[in-house]
Amino acid sequence: MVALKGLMKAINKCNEYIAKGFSFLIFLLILTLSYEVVARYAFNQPTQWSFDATYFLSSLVLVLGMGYTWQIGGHVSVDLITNKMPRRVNAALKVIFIVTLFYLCWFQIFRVMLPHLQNSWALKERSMTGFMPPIYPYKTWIFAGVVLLLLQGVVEIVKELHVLIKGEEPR
Amino acid sequence: GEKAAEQPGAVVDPLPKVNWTLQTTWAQGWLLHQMAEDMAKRVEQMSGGNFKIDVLPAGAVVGGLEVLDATSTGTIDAYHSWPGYWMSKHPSAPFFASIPMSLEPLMHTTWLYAYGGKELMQEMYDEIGANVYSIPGGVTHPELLAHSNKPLETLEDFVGLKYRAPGWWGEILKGMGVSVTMLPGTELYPSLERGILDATEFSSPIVNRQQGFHEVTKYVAGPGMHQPTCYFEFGFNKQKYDALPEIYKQMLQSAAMATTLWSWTQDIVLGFETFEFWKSRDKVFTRVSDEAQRAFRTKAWDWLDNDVAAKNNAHYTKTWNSVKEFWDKFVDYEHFMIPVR
Amino acid sequence: MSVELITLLMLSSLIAVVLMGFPIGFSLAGIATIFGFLFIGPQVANVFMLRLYVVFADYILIAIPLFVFMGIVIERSGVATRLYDTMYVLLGRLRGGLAIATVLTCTIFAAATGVVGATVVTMGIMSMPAMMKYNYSKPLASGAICAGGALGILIPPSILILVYAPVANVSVGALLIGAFIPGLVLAGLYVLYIAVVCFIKPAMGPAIAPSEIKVTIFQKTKMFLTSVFPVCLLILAVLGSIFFGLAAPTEAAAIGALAAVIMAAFYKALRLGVLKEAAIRTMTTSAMVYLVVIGASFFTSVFMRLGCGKVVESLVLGLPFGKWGILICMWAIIIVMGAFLDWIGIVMIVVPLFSPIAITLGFDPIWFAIMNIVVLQTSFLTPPFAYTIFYLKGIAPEEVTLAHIYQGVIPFLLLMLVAVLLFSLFPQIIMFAPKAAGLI
Ligand code: NA
Ligand code: NA
Repeated sequence: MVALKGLMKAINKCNEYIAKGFSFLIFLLILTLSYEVVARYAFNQPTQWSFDATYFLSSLVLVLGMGYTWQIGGHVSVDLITNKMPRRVNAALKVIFIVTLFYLCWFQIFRVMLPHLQNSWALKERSMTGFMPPIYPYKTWIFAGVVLLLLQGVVEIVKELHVLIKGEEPR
Repeated sequence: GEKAAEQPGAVVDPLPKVNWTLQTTWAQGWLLHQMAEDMAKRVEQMSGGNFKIDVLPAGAVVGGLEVLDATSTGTIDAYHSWPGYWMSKHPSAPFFASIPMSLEPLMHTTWLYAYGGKELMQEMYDEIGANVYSIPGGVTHPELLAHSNKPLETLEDFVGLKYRAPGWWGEILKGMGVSVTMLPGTELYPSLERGILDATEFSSPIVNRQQGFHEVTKYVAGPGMHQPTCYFEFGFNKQKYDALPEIYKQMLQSAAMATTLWSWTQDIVLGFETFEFWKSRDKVFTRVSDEAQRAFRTKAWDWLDNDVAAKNNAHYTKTWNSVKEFWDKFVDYEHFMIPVR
Repeated sequence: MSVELITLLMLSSLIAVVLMGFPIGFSLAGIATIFGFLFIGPQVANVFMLRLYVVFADYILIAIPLFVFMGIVIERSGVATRLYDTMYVLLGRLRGGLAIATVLTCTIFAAATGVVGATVVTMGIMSMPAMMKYNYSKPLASGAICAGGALGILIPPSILILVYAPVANVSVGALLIGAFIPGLVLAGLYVLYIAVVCFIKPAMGPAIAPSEIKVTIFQKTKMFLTSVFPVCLLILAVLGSIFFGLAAPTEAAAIGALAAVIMAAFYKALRLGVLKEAAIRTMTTSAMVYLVVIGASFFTSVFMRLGCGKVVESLVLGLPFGKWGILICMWAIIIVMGAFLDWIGIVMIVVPLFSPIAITLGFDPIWFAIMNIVVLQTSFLTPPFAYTIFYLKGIAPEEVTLAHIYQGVIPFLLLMLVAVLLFSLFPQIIMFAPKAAGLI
């Protein structure tokens, strides 16, 4: 029990630090895009790297933040009916949904991503735009985001199971 | 069975019902998408309606550029695309699609079908571990060099030009002072309109006309130096292809070859009409001078020589040598054989 | 199993799961997985993986975090309070003047940010107490705030437009420029309605006695220049750079974000804490939007692959109402969905189905897109699931009940329908600006 609590806490902290840490790349994204406009008009020389840099930066901010967003209840849902349900019924529903809808989908993605990623590294796969930078790092952090999301799923399911069994929110 | 057997020359064994899903990289209505529809229609007719191929546009199942991966994993059975896109996975890819200042349509056709080109293409797919069997399918005459708001005639005209150009062509131009930009296809029209771009290439004249680039540019620039021809391909999931009866394999091969000839001649005839259309809209036609073109050729070939040496990839080296060897033979032979125009 | 039955099951199970409170993005992805596995095979997982790579590399969607960031920085810069104080001084002596000031402040705010929640909360805190103090009708005050706040999603910068454009395959620039004038027209209708209703029934929005507002012309000018003027500059930075062709929409969003930071510094509201908070909130808000976009792209992919799109299309096209009748049916569906679903879910489910139908019927894709966005605005006001109502109830004084708010949004909902009629009769209201900018 203590070990489980420790694990939950570790996952939560891990997701939180990673998401918050990478969120600051938004500043770099703003500067990159603004610089591209300046480069185009002031120096008449659009950059080669900005197109790829743009989605590299934004994807780091976003994909690594999906798990943390779940943790703080930030993924939009309709709670009209669930608000009026007994908390335990709601918890049971959530457990069922997480297992049948969330894990079914995201674990399958995880499963097919592994060989795809290996292949991408082996080919040294590159982008098709700009100066054609390597794209396997990009695919790798998308994979990392999926892993973080799957880990957060563990926390969410244990949380709901706790409510279901004990009838109260875990502390 | 019974009735068919009585007809002379009819197939005795009934053909099995096969239903395939093919996705293209193109939008519905484009000539490029029609290539796939043409092939599918031929196969369906040849098989008496037994072998059906549903042709879907980009985005129907996966994005336009994901068709190779999707076919390889069996998500779709087949695709129609442009082999040059797979440059992200293998450096040789553009050789099977378009080579700047190199193979022209008849040359490319001959090289692919009769000089080892399509075998080299399959080798490439095997090297990248793609679970596909690929054959040439569809070709267009040279692409339009650019829709431009600046005249493009001399080498100086290219210096500082804001030009959308991907792949090898983009790399070559960078060495010639062009300010090369890469924007997605949907952003091209507004970018030309608002001066983010001076010029763009995208496809052959008929496709450009459908995109309406003439509404936002003054000049129509030729010749198609960057893509003296444009070869397309059909890719099939290997297991799906292997499982077909021999007669269906032959149908796919024949239909794809027929599509190649059909699309090539269609593109040229539709190109005539497009030319007339642009003339009626008072577009100014510019042509890069012969002298400048030769300079581009030297640059392009030097760039390829350097890139091949730098990458040091056996297949890349082998394919480029094959193209160069073929070029010399073809040019000599044709010069001797074809009467003056 | 027939395609018709699969279509029905897929849509109904989606709605059921969403109504049971599971996050919309996960619901879309999960239902797509189940139906994909059952009717296509396990290889659909590959499609999902590929979609994931494509969504995170989408150039247009990248404007979402940038607009969100811009909105949060502006919200924290304190400019809204300055705006409202100015409007209050300028309009307070008119009947209904405070409600008009609310709508106008919301309109300017809408043109500077794309976040509805921020607008409603800020206006609710500032203008609600003022209107209560002067005995304004509670429904009128609530309605003005909710409707004004919802303008944020119509008047660019707008996240809705960024999500909408790629789904409908239309130019983002054209939609951003095109939505501006309809947004102003709608704001104008709100102002007109408030002015007329308060003129007829002064008790709904009594004028403030001139003795209560003692501000010199000089002070008024100064207030105006330090509040409205900088915000207009900011609006110009974003919309102007798109309109005059200086930047692609994503770049314009980045310029807007940079300009917002500069403006916050100008108001001496730029602290490290603010930037840190803005970065984190940007990440969570945008991750939420992206998850829905991802889930919906999985869903659409399976839905279309199974041929369900064609079923819906032939069903709608087969309605015996003619061209405009079908259009009205589509809007009715959007309005009903809006009562239960979040806008982003509606866009992702409905737009891929409706856009080809509208084109088949011969409607202009840009016009149809902006009309849909106007109609989608209703989802912010229609109970039971309505963001603006939730937000306002959350911060409004005790005396304002949910019934007051429900009652208050009804006239504004009707005004939205009036606007729909207006833009249908005079499509040039929508088409003028994108044409002038050369985007269509
Ligand atoms: Na807005
Ligand atoms: Na609603």
